[in-house]
Amino acid sequence: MGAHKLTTDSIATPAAVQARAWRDGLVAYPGTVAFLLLMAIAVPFLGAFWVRTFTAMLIIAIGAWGVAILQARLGLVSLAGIAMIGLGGWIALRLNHATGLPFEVVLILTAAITAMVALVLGLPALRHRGLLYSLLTLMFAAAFHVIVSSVGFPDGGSGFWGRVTGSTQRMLMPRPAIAQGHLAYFFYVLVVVALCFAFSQVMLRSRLGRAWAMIRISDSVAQSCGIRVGWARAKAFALAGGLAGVAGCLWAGSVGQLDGRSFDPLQSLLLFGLVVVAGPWSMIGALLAGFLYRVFPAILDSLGVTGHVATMIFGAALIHAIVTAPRGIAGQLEDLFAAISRRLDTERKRQ
Amino acid sequence: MIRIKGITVAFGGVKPLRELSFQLSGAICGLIGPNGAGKTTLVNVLSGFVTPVAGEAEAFGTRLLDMRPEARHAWGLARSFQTPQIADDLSVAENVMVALDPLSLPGAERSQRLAMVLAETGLAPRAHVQGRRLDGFDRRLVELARCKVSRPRLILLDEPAAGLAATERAQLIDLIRALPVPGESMVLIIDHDIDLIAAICEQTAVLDFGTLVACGTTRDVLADPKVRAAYLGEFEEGTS
Repeated sequence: MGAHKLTTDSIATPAAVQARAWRDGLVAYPGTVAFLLLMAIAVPFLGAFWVRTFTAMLIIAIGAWGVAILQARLGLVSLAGIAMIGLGGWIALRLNHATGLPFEVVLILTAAITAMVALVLGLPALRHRGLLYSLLTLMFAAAFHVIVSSVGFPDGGSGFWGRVTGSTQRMLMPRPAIAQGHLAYFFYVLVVVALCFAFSQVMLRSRLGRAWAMIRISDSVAQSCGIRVGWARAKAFALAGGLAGVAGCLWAGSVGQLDGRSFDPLQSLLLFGLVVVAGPWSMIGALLAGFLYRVFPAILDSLGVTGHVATMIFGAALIHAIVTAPRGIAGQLEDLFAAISRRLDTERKRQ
Repeated sequence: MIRIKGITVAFGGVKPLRELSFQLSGAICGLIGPNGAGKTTLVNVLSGFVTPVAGEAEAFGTRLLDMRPEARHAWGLARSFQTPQIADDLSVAENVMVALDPLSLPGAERSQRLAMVLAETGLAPRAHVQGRRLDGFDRRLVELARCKVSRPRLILLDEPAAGLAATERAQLIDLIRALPVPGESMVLIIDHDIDLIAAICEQTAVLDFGTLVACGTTRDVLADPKVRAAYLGEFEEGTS
């Protein structure tokens, strides 16, 4: 080992490593890009019902991606995915009715506020992973359901809860000015999904993402690298909360008003299970989780089979995923495409 | 220089370390002992993962136990683990950069350090390879590079050569020899591998059942009948 002349041209510099990480994070998911493009091309031909259903799927996918980041990147099991989306919806409705700000501003504010709430909710679990955090999130999901079932979502009234009384007309949250129709709103949501995925990828391949990767190995490994585990974990809660806030705002914008019955804690449990089945490691897994959550039951319904059967199928799929496919359907698809790619390379070299 | 004074660790009724005291001052030192001797527990105490019920630990005049684990990294402590701890979804360079991230360094300094350590460990050509694609030796090298890049004062290597082939082991020994800056930093190797300890450690401490058996120059320690009896399973003359 002799002395080395220090050069930064030929080998990795931190800037080059960071740039490459971001590039990989954004372009190394052709499946996700293809999935979104396929939806953009095909969904407009499916009719109004399916356009609304796929819009809902995309909205759920944003929340599912937050759950997936916590589960796969930090080993944290969040059982409040749907409840956090509901909280985002509540904040969006309250902000919209109280301020009348443009949709985009409400979207950003909702993401920020939901992120802060998620951070505060996660504070007791900063030094823990596993059961305590999961129980905490489940309790939150149950508490949120109790509150919104009894109080309801804001509908244009005054006071903290924003509920109308008497014969006053209930107000709906308007959609963005540029996306009033169902199809336009579908494309609007599609763009927001792409932006959320890109933003989270930048985070995952940055200094913070590297810290999360170390925390996933173990707290000890992370601390030995000088990482403040609690602080890094708090930022993950905030990211997942922010994504849920975006999803909640889009959901509220999609239907104009929200119903507490949609935010049963069992729905949060179901979403977590679907994230595991679909694959928590990649964005395509989040899209598949959204598909299974909203589109698959609708397909069953359209075939004359009750959508509730889907829950039984998901249970079997969860067992299958745990036993044979820990990276979920998305992982299996990635392996399949990698095998096909290798095969094609081999054939090309032979020729 | 590292100084351990009266360290006692208790896990319930079990005491893996009992009033342990010794001092090591070579550039590369060893800590050996049979399984259950308390070696890894002591490393975890120095790293901040285990809090002793009594005692003090100093390195280069600084009381380590007063600092939180992550603050010890900023002070200048780095460590490896028995099984290399590499993030599979990060590249080699990212796995190394992790140790630089918490340090407030100018960009040029970060670049220089990363470039240097990747070149010295021979990892530069594989800087962008994902962790999951690395073999066992490369994973060891990445962990060693991560230890080195922050230019620590105290480097703790927990069984660094475990499972390596002879050629890989020789390469690793060269890299470990290049780690410390004389008078400014030291390496403490925790290992069962007596040959490795004998080859590169100036001073060595021997533990057994959480207490010190011997401490001094490696040659003297390894020749000590008590060490040979306790660690190498040999009997002193006149005993049966």
